[in-house]
Amino acid sequence: MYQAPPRTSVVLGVIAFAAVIAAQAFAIMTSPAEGDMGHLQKIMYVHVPAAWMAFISFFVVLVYSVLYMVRKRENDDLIAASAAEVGAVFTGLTLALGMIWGRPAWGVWWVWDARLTSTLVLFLIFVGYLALRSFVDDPGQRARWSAAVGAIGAINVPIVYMSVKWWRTLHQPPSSPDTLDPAYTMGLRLNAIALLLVTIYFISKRYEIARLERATENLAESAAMGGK
Amino acid sequence: MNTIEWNQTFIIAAYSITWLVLIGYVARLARKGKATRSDFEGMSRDNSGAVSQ
Repeated sequence: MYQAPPRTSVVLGVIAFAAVIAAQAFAIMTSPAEGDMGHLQKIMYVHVPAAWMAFISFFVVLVYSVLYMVRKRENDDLIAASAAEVGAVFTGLTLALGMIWGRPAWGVWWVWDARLTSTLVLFLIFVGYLALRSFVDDPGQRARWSAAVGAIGAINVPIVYMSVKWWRTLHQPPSSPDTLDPAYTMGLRLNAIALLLVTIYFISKRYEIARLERATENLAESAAMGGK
Repeated sequence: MNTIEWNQTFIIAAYSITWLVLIGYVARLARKGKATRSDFEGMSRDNSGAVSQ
């Protein structure tokens, strides 16, 4: 008899989204206009945390893909797949926000520099990962192939991060509390923490659904075998 | 439109897209969760019926 997995807390979702509203309001109201970009700098509070959340999600994919290869536990595969979907959402958002920021700051929507191109490659790898999962019916084979693609795909994260240091790019060096004017540090930290709560909520909710999908697949399989 | 107004347009676009994506994904999860739970419950009922027969 299969049990439905416990539901992800709605309270966590409400707290996470309230935190994002509060962090964005704080950052917008307290940060002064930047010397070169003026108020355009405020796009950093959504663009940079979105990129960090994509990196964190793909780190989760790497850890659980390796764990799956070692332990062969189904739940490790489902956690990796859940994090991959959330990571793909945040990478897509990062790319869109980067284009919106790039147009007024650089005068172009897109340029094939190392940071933008490697981020696009990362996005496409995980879109491919999700497509692969939807094509393969056998759960064991799906998990094995996904673990390989997930682990290899996540290796691209340090390349994306280091791209602005390794190559000459139009994109600025990584924004972090160490490289920022103190006037912008608190806003960035608060937005990153708030979006981290949202990321945790998204991954745990997606994982709950993935477990339910897997349980339904198992039930269908056992029904096909005559209830054995 | 002058530069400041243009910049405001881009800032508003960035925050709007962020919220659109976040809320859109919540809605997708809610829809998928509801559909999957209903499939699971239906399949559970079918299976328990098959066992009792």
